[in-house]
Amino acid sequence: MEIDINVLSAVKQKKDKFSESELLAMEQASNQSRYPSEIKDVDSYSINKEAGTIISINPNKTKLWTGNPRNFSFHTDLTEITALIKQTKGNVTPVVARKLPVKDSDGVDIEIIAGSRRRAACIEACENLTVSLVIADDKKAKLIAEAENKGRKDTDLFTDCRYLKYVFDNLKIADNNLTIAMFAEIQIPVITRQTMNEKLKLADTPLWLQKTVTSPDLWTFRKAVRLKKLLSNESLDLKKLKLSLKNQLFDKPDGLLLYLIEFIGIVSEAKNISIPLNNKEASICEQKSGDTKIVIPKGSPDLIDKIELLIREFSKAQ
Amino acid sequence: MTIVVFGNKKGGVGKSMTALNLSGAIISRAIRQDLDTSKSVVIVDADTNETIVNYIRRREAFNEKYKSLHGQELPFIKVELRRPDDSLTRDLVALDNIYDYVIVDTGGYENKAFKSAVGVADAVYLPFQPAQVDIEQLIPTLFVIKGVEDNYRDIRGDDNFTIDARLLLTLVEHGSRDLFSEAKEVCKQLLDFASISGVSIPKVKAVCKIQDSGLTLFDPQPNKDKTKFSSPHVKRAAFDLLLAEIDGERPVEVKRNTIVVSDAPDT
Repeated sequence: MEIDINVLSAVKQKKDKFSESELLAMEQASNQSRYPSEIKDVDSYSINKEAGTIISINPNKTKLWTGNPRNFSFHTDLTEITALIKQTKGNVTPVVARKLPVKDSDGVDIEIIAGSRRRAACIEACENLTVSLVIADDKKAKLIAEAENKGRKDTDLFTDCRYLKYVFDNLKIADNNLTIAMFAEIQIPVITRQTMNEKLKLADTPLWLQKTVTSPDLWTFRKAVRLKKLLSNESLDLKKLKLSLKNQLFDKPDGLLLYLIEFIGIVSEAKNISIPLNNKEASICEQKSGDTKIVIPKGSPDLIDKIELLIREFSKAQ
Repeated sequence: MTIVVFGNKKGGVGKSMTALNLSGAIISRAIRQDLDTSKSVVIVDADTNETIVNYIRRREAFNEKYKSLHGQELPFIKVELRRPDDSLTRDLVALDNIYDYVIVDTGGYENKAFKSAVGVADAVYLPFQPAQVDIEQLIPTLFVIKGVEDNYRDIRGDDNFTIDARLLLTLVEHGSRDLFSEAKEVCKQLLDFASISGVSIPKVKAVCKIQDSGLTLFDPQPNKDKTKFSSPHVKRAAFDLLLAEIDGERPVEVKRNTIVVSDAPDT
């Protein structure tokens, strides 16, 4: 029997390349390594999954943490969740909260970090709120809120505006030199001073008016500015409007806007010009709101030429 | 005996193409040296696109036609399929005991397979094209390699452990020397994390023509109707050079910086 020493040493070398403990360490090292994009997720995830002390509490004896933008939301679509909460005698998934070191003037010391909708539904259902109490400073609370908000619907425009206004007012107290332009610049993504100015003003839109629209997510910036413009109409009596809107609900913001236009009656008879078009009439008129309304009947031949002619006539009249 | 990993979180940089032709170079050399090609090389395809597996399937199909025309078979290339979320560490060590070369092709995205393969690899190649965007995309991949390296050092207390990461320029077009040299200059900023390979893989038009038959540049090159075959492609030389670099017969162009911890007190 012959033994090839070279083969033996090669086999030995192969076997010795990695020991079991080295392989274990290698697996551990690769499991712990992260791509840059994974790093934030890991922090959020671990905080999100952190187990807190579960307690049951009267939701009215809690308050919402102002660091989470979602906590500025007015929940208008609570029917389904309220029914569910009534059925299960409370919320199944606990909301995340922290205990404040001192009670506030109302005697409340539980601050809800994330779960404002569940809290609102529990209040409506007159059920106790199940809370997961965690120990968290503002920085950690922010991470918890981010993790909880992930994958949920974005907040609506007015909620955003209210949050921005709250943050701006607080920053302004801390630093009186803060301007709207500076505040606009620190946003991600950066927005213009004009947009920020409008957003801060929109935060003051009356709540009773906002609550008339059942789908607040459908508010766009343009529509909200239009609403603000209509509300600033001198002939509008807000008290009368509030009374007339008492039992009114609109599916979309457009419904509210149309109602307001009709309520104010702002279509002007003045500065109105029309031209005949195939037994019908095309018209252009300036409204009191400052908008210009152009009406072109359907099926008009040479449409573009007619529109051009119409605008020229209107310009001359101006 | 040698584990080579190809990885870059950016896709379309030529990882699979380089891995395939490198395996062609290994087999071709084994044939020249009259060695058993069945144990020469295995490619581990850990990409959801299964580029290599599909390539070899096409090769197998074409092999029948080739055999009927020439009476001999194309060299067999062994492929192992894994998923991007598999841990490859132990698999690679096991395959390394069977094959002379284990080539790992990972997907052009962030994946666990790459993370688990780099620790046991003899060389980790990061193919990239000579463009600023491609160079920027190398950073997350280098970050992960550094992470594995640091974690292993911490766990084992072994400060000498390093991963041999190498930046490899691929799909270099003929006549783009300015882009090429510019890219190499930019790469020097990454020398704390990886060496720069002395090989650059050219963009070869023939690859597009032969890939539907599953051929490598080391196989006889077919004519238009694939009935006649000429000698292997001349540009296969780049892959021979790459193999020589992997074997250590050829040095890398610029070596990775080594961090020297000095015992001397600060002055």
